[in-house]
Amino acid sequence: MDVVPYLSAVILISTIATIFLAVLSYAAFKMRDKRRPKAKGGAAAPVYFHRYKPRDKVAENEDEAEAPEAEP
Amino acid sequence: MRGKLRYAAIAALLLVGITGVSVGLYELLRDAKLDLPSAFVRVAMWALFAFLVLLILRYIGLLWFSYLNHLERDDEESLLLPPVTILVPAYNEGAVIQGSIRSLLELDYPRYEILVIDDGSKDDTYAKAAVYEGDRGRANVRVITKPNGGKARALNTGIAAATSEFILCMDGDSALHPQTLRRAIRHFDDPHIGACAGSVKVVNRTNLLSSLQALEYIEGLNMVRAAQGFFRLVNIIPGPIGLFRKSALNKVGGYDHDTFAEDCDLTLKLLLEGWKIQYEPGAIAYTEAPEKLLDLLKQRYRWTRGILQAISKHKRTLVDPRRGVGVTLTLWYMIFEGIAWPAMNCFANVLFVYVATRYGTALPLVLWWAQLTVLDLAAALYCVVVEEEQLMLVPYAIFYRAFFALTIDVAKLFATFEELFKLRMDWGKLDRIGRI
Repeated sequence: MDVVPYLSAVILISTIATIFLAVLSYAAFKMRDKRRPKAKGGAAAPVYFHRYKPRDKVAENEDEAEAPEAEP
Repeated sequence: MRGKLRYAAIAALLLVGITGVSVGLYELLRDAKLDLPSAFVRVAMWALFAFLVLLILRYIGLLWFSYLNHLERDDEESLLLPPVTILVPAYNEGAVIQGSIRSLLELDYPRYEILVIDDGSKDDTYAKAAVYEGDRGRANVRVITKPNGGKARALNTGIAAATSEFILCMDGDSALHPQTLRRAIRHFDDPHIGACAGSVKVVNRTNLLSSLQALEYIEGLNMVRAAQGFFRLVNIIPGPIGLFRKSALNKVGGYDHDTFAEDCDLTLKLLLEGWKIQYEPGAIAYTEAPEKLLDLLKQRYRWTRGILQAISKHKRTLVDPRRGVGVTLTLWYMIFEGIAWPAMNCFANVLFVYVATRYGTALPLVLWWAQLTVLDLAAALYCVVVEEEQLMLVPYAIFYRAFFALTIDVAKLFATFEELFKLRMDWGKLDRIGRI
């Protein structure tokens, strides 16, 4: 018995169904995200482009002195 | 040695299996003598099958290098077990924070500090964590709270407050394997290692979706990290588990806030600074995977856009290899995985469905699916054996290729378009179930 035609049919149907479901799911996810209530009193201030600074230079030097020999 | 020979035999069998099935599938396609009048379809199909060959090489390459990394590993512990600070950033993790801390108190390590950073939670996270505060044998627990500012800022607060040179960053919803610190710290005997990525495993294998993610984590994520670890060029230290030198973190300025994948961004910064990054499969973090499809899409949407933001931030290195050829190649690999593969997979499936309905043959679609499924099965078997995982995960590779990968790739494709057009996005925190 040649299984290729049956396998082809199963894979074709499942692929078509998956493509439709994937697109619908994505649309549903976006709709759900839009419906979600926003925080009252305004969201937290944007946190972009703030660079972390170590506590102070002295502490950093101390940490490096304690560290095993490390180099990039 | 016997164990390694066993792995070598498995690797050889997989290689033979992949080659045999691949040749058989291509023979099948050649015998079919497809008659496709459209020149566009013919060219597109040749392009896709050329891409498929690239994917086969990708799988074999990943299997090979992860296997070499596996052979290279020794089980000897580091003679030095320096103190480690574990950072646990937590925002509305009330359902899981106590389980996380309890798992951390069971770590097999002589001296360590657990530092919980409550990121202005609206639930009882702080109160629940504070119950454990104080000296608890080998571990000292500290809990600090700050106004909400995001995970990156919480981790930076923790880095500043940490008292040890070695810092383990994790998620508030994760739990660690008891041997995690011992297994990870030994890589730092090499002074060039700036960080070590751990292995993330799904703890809630309760339905098809979460079981597929369990397979995906060990095959799609850990195997890739193991292969990259061979070159000490791991490109994403996962949020649930990463061990860092504090001096390395300070030199690159800690976590930045300008992407939604701060872990990926930090990893790239470390690589660009010249640090090497290793992968340790014995350092394990257990995490909850989304159990609902929409939650999963939300997670992948954020991952995709975050990774694209991180690539975009360091895009100069794509064309300028002076800061390290390895880093440049890593960035191109990320583009391949993040954009090219999802796009080609979606395109292939749509084209093959069109060919099947227009010309009456689904053979190219079957070949595409069968070839990728064979590769997935081989990779899954290898990973399950090497990571001593559940054998029952292997058959999930069939479902993985049949619908999971395509669904995720469609979401990745949409997310990529949204990122290209700079559509606004939110952090999108997932609701935790509390299975840890």
